[in-house]
Parts: sequence; C-alpha cells; structure tokens
Amino acid sequence: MVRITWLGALAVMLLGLPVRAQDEIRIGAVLPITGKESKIGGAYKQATELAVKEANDAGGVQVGAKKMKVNLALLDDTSDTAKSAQLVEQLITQNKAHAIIGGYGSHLVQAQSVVPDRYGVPFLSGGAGATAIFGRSKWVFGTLSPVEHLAETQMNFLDDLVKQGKLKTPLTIALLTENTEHGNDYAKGVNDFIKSHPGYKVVVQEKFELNTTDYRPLLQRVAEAKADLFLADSHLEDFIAMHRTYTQMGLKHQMLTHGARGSDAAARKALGPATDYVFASGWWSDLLPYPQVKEFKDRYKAATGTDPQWYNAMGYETVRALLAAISKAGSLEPEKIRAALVGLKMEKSIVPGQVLTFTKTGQADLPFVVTQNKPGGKVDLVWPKDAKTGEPVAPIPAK
Amino acid sequence: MTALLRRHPALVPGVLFAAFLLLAPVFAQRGMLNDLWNMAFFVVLASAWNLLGGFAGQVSLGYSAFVGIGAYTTVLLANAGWSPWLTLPVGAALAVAFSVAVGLPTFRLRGPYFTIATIGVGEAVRVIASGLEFTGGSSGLRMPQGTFDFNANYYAMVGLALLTLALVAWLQKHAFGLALEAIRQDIDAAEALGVHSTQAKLTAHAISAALVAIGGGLFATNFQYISPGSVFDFRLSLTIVLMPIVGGMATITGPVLGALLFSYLQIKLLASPTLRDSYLFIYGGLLIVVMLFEPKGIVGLWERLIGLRPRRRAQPPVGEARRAS
Repeated sequence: MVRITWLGALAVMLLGLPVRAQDEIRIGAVLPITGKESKIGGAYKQATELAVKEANDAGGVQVGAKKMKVNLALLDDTSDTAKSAQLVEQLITQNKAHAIIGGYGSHLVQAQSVVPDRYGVPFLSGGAGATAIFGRSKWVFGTLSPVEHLAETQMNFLDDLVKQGKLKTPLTIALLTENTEHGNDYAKGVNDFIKSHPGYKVVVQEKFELNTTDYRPLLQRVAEAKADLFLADSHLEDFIAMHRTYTQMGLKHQMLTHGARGSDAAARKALGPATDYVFASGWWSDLLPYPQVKEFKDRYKAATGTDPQWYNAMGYETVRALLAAISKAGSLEPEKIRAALVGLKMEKSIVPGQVLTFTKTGQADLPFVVTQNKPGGKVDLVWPKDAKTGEPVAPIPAK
Repeated sequence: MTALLRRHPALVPGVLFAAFLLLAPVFAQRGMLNDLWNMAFFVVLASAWNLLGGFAGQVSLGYSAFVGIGAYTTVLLANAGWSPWLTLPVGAALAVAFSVAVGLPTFRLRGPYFTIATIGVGEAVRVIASGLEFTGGSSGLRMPQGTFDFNANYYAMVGLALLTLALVAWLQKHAFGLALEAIRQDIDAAEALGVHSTQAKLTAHAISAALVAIGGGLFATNFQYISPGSVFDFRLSLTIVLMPIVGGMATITGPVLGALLFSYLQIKLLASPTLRDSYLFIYGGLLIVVMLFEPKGIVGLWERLIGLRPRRRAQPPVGEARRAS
C-alpha cells in the first residue's frame, strides 16, 4: 500500500500536475521585474502584491456565496516581449489562471495581449496606454487612459497658460517621441490639437529608439530648431538619459515635458534640480484631493515604506478593479468575469474622476492630471484647475 | 526502417522522441504542447547554427538577424494578404541573400574578428528595424487576425526540427560536411587540399540562415506579434550559440541536448517564483563548467562516461592551438 502511495506521488511529480485548491481565485501576472523596464516593473510588482495581500487579509473576495482567497502567480518576463507572451500562455495553460494582470510597457503588453483571445481568459493591464492594444479582442482591458488624451491634456494646459498671459503665441514646438505606439499616440495627440489651434507650430519632430544611449545628435537638432516648447514622450530610463544630456548641453525652453515623466522619485534623485519646473501629465497623482487617495497613500507608505508613484497607484487599482469584477460576476467563469469588466463602475476609486469604467474598446478613458516640479523636491498639482495645489510657473525661470 | 535502426542503434532514442513529438497533440495538454513547440524551435536554431558554428568552426553571434528576417517577412506579407505558409520560403530566400551579403565580407575575417563582426551585423539590423516605419518601429507588428492555428504550427515546427536534424546529419556524412570539418580543424590545410573555404562557409551560412528564417516565420505565426526586441535581440543570438556549446558542438545530438536543456531551464525556472531570476545564472554556470572541464559538452561527458573516450585535459580547438603556436 505504501509503495502504491509512493508510486502515485511519484507519478504526480513526474507528470507535473499541480494540486490546486478549488475555492481560490487564481490570478496570473507577468511583469518586467528584471531587465530594461525593471524600475517601474518592480513598482508594479510591489503594488500588485499589496493589493492581493489586502484582499486576502480582509478574508478574501466574495464570489457568489463564498469568500475566496486570491492566489497570485507573478512571473518576470525580464522585459522581453517574446518571453512575456510565453509566460502569459503558461499562466493560462499550466497554472489555469482565472484572469491575467497585464504587464508594464505598451510594447510588452502588446505582445501579451494576443494570448488571452486564444483561450478566452480576461486580461486587465494597468501599465499600457497605447490605443493599438485595445479594441482587437473582447478579453483585453486596460486601466490606463489613451496616451493621445495625455498629450491633448498637456496642450490644453499650455493653452490655458497662454490665456493667462504667462506664455505668448505664436509658440514653436520641438516634439520628440519614442518610436513606439505610445510615442506615435503622443505625437498624434499634439498634432491633432495644433490643427485646431493656429498659435502653435511644430518646428522639429523626431523619433528615438527605446533605451537610446546617446541623445546628443537628437538634441543638437532640437537646439538648432530654437523652439519655444520642448515636448517629449519618454520612458523613465530615456527621460533620465535624455534630460541629463539636455542639461549638459545647456538647452533652455519656455516649458518642458517628457509626457508622463517628470515627478518620478527616481528621476528627481538622479537629476536633482535639473528636473525643476518640468511638467508632466499622469494617470494619477498623490495630490488628488480625494479622501480615498489620502487613505491609500497612508496605507501604501505604512506597508512599503515609500510614497506611491502613479505606477504604484495604477498597479494597485488594476488588481482592485479585477477583483471587483470577479466579485460582481459572482463566478470564476471567464465569460462572466469579462461581462462584469465591461459593465464595471468602480466608485470611490483613487483614479482621477473617482469612477473607474472601461470604454467599448476595453480601455479606461479618465481625465489626466498635470503636475509641475518645483524647487526643493516639491511637486504641485497644476491641472485640473479645481484640484490644483499650486500655481503653474511659466515660462521656466532662467537660473 | 527496422534494418536502419539495427545498423544504427544510436538512432533508436531519436526515433522514439520524434514519434513522441508527432503524437503529442493526441494526448498532451496545451501547456505541454507549448513547451514542446518551444523545444523544437530551439532545436532548429541550435542545429542550424551548428552547421556553420560547430562543423565549420565559424562562431557567429548574429543569428537573431535571420530569425528576424523570417519573422518580419511573414508578418509583413501576411498583412498584405499572403497565406503565412507561402511567406516562409520568401523569408528563407531573403535570409539566404542576406547571409551571402554578410558572409562575403565577414568570412575574410578569422576567429574572434569574425565573431565581433557578426555582433555588429546583428545589432545593425535590429537598430534599422527599430527605426523604420513599415516595421512598426520599436513597437513591432501584429499578424492579421485568423492566421493562428496552433496544431498546424506545432506540426510545422516539429517537422522543421526533424528536417533540420536530418539535413545536418546527411550533410555531415558527405563531402560538404567533411570540407566544413577540415575548415574547422585547419583552414589553410583545408585550402591546400582543394577545399574552397569561402564557398563552403557561404553555403553553410546560407543553408542555416534559411532554416532559421523559416523558424522565425513560424515563431511570428505562433506568437502573432513581433518586435525588434523579440526577434532581433542579441540575447537570442547568444542563446543560439550557448545551446550547441553546452550540448556539444560539431555533433548532431549536442545542439539537441543543449536546446532541450535550455528550453527546460527557461520554462521551469521562469515559472518558479523562487528561481525565476536564476536561470541565466544556472545556464552561465553550466557553460563555465563545460568550458573548463568538458569542451565537448554533454555529448563529450556522455562519451567519457560510457568509456568511448579517455579523460583528457581540456584543450583548445586545433585551429586555435595552431594560431597560438
């Protein structure tokens, strides 16, 4: 008998059949914890794990008549697109995940997003804003609003500075974007705005490769263009590298942004006062005047010892949205979870506007905030006007 | 077949494994089939590279370029309305043309200079693909909808792996394979004996490029999305080289064993929350052990264990030793 038991156990081990609890929610997540996107990928990991821990500490998620614990399988794609898709497939086929939390970075999420459709598994990303990812599969959802609207928000903010008399049209623009869907969407947002606002003109528009090592040739072209505004769309590593070269070259513009980058703690630490007055549009800010944001900020700091950045917040809220949908579905059946995501209306959310919903393409479309760095490591929320914590400084004062 | 297996009993495990791969879709779950697809893909890459890198001793670190050429050809033509199957020979033809264009100048170089040049070629192709509009830039491209058929792709990849092995084994036994071996051992002596070394290297390069490009095309169809970061990645080139080195270069079974080991490590370790960051470390460690103690890789270790070969101190390849003296 003992021998039979041992043989049985051995057979299970050899066949690699994992023993799975019946009453648990299996969530798979694939994030770039190592590699080029690891800085923010690591932040997403921290936020994802915190959201799951909080759900489990509260006794689990109510699914129909049962309270179920969340079993999170979080894998590292090493910032490699092929591996990213492979691991999502692995989580679905081998871990039998009920739903997938997508990664960070539009190019990585783009690779992942082809997989859920094959298996009919709900997929919710909190780290990709490129519109090309959404609308192709009914299983793919995302909490980051379109990058195009991020650019549009920045242009509206600049236009408001013109109306206040802080900036004067005509204004010329140097527009630099990464050569990705993310960058293309940003450029489209700026160019679409300019079409209906004659006071602006793009005098130099260039694309750059992700993780470029030398920005001097690109910035030399910017210097020669003598633009008034410097608008770029960069990932964190590129923002740090490009802005370091920008500062070393002594470039100056009336206003400067790197899209969603600006107030990131890592960049301010790396670049110091050189980041003062950089403005950024984000999917979230800890300066949002909602009580739930303050509570989240305190909880996050108590749990991790660090203040949450926008990516921590969106990673956290993405998990909460998925768990809210599962609870609303009252079932772990993929189709029911998907239907719940389609109709989700998460009130008192920490996102701008306080209500998280998804559009027909599966992508959230929420308002953006604009922040501006101030000297001494301070950051002010400067847009929307009714939530601002400080006045925008424009043009950037000469030092 | 039975007579063949009687004459070559070493083929029995290979035939059994091939039968297992071909029958797997009947009984195996999708997760396991994905792993087997991955293994077959690595077998294609490692065995095709071995033709030039192993048999001819020309260590190229630019093979991801051929994966990329095959993959991009498939995606671009499929988006233009072509059947993905018809794109495979086009990708192979383009890879052959590219291999000749790259080979003509680089095969003038020897040893590390050739290897360094191939790194440059691989990186140049990646940078160009990242900068072009029609390749989708750094974001890459998706296959059109309705082009995914896992079972067909699985059989195609397994078939390609078996074809690659059969072709390499056949070439090894013929004058062409002997010419490559002569080039590896001593290129000057080989030329003195009448081997046209540049032509032989170009041919090996072209054959392996075509096989790798077809693998790249199937990769694109299976993953439905490619980007320069996935198919032109230097890490992929490095992986392609590591597999035959660990398994045993200039043998038929060595690259297969290296590919099986590498894909197993990658699949299992990446899926393990505690070991996910260590697979490259483990593979790197394995590589160091192989280089130090058994330059002929797993195959060499096996031969030594079963007494086919006496234990000897690790020696550099003949060509290297000759250059050193």
